[in-house]
Amino acid sequence: MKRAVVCVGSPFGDDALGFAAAPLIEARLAPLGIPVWTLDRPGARLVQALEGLDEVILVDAVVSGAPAGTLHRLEEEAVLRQVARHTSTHGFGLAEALALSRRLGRGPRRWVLYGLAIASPRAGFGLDATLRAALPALVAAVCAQFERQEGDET
Amino acid sequence: MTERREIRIEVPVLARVEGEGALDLAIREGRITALRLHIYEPPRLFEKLLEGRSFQDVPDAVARICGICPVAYQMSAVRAIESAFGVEVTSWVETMRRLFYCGEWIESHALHIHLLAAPDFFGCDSVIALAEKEPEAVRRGLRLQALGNEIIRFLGGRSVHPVGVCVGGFHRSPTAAEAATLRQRLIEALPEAEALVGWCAALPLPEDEQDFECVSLAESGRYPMMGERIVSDRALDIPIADFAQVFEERQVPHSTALHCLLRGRPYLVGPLARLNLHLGQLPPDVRERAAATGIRWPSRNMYHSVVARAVEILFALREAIDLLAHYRETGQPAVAVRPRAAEGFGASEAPRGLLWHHYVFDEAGYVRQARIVPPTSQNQARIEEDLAANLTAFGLERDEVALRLRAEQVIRNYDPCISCATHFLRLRLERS
Repeated sequence: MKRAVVCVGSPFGDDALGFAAAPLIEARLAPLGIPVWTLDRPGARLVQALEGLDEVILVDAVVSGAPAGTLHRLEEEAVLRQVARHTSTHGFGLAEALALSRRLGRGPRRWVLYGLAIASPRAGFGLDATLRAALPALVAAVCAQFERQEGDET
Repeated sequence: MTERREIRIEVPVLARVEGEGALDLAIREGRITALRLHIYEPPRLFEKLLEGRSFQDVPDAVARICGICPVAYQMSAVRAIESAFGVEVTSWVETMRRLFYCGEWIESHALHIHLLAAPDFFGCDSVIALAEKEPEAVRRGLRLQALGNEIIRFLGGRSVHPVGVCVGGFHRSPTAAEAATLRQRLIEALPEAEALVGWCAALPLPEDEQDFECVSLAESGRYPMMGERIVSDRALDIPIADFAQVFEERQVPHSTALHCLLRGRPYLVGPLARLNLHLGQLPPDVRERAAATGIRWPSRNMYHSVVARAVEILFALREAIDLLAHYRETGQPAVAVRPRAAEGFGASEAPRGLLWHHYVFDEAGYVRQARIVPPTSQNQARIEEDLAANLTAFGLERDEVALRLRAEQVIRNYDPCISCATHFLRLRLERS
């Protein structure tokens, strides 16, 4: 089974969450040989990245209205419900890429999105202190999912 | 009996374009009384940001103007800087720059055709819906787009905002093995690009002949990507340095992008203008493919721009294969550059059309002044002119949904890159 973790983000503000989480997840999943990729924009390139995968965990900052640092876990249909009906290329995001990937029949059979709620995207560098404090829980949740599967298989 | 009818259509957010814009249309008693393409993305101030920076920072800074066409910004910039400092690049650099550009045309055109333009012609609201009706075509489009990105990565280190470019050339010479692998992949994709031309020509494209002037660069003996002269099909032929004397940029209240006019009139830049002007420069087999579509080139129907993009993808793929045929690694991927106090002009054919840069440097090579004219601001007046003619011919009595869809299609024909076009608005202060 081909699995991967895709961390989406940018170098800026709280949107850097995916990039901050990636090396921590990578270090912990290294014994399982599961690759961890970072992606700075989730559009058409995510569709390509998903090709040939059976299962993927996506990590991204989420604007949900929940207090900053709240851990979200969304499965397939919950992510697809976020697809915007009309969108410019700037709005072709994670949910749209997953929907396109599924429609083309080349993407993973299963995906889960883990995210931390952020207050709002902001400029500048570095994660907000609340997010930094919540990061270990996010990393643990992502890794536990694949580690649990590995335990079930052996 | 004349129907008395007042309609106001507002499209608050244009879908399937690059960036965020809007359209206002007012119809009164069967006539358009107001038509405004709003570009409301905030001004980006790039020209001001460049002031005071070293010439060496410019290629990486201007690449950030656009995530779809960073190569165009880099190529226009380095050519302007090199012309200011009297730098002659090697033939290796010239060849690799053209290859780099091929990658961007393929990537950008493939994205536009499949994600933005094609869904309209299948009654789909997005590429996700299109993927259900035409899955093979969407897969092919994504593969071609990925291949374009691969060419950009080959020289640029990465496909979005590439970092491999410097004034004088490139930071690194890719290995011969990398070049051979890339070339093989391009050869394998040729049948897909050939099929794409036929697929685009078979779309139910409306008939809509209009009268407009086509403008592009000219490059001696070949289809233009970078060049020193600007030409049109109405006898314009000027060096790029004379751009500002002939073309006039104007502010309009409803847009943060400037409108650009040629002799006071709207004009067209982009793939259809290039193909109309330089069909004879295409290799015979690409020309035959273009002719086999049944379209009589030069075409005055803007809907044919989607076919022109497919023809340019095929051309760029063929050209990239040829450019890589005799690839040799070099120990000198860039020539030395010595700054001086001077001004320089550079222009290239971005996927969406002519992209013109002008810089003034001090003796240490710091930017004193920068001016960038992107293709979308040049096409903006033409888009409004096209909308007025097209919608009138289409029938202003039609319902709001039909008019809105038609207007969006017209705008998409130009593949406007609204993020690129948003420009700094000069402040005019009046004191009394």
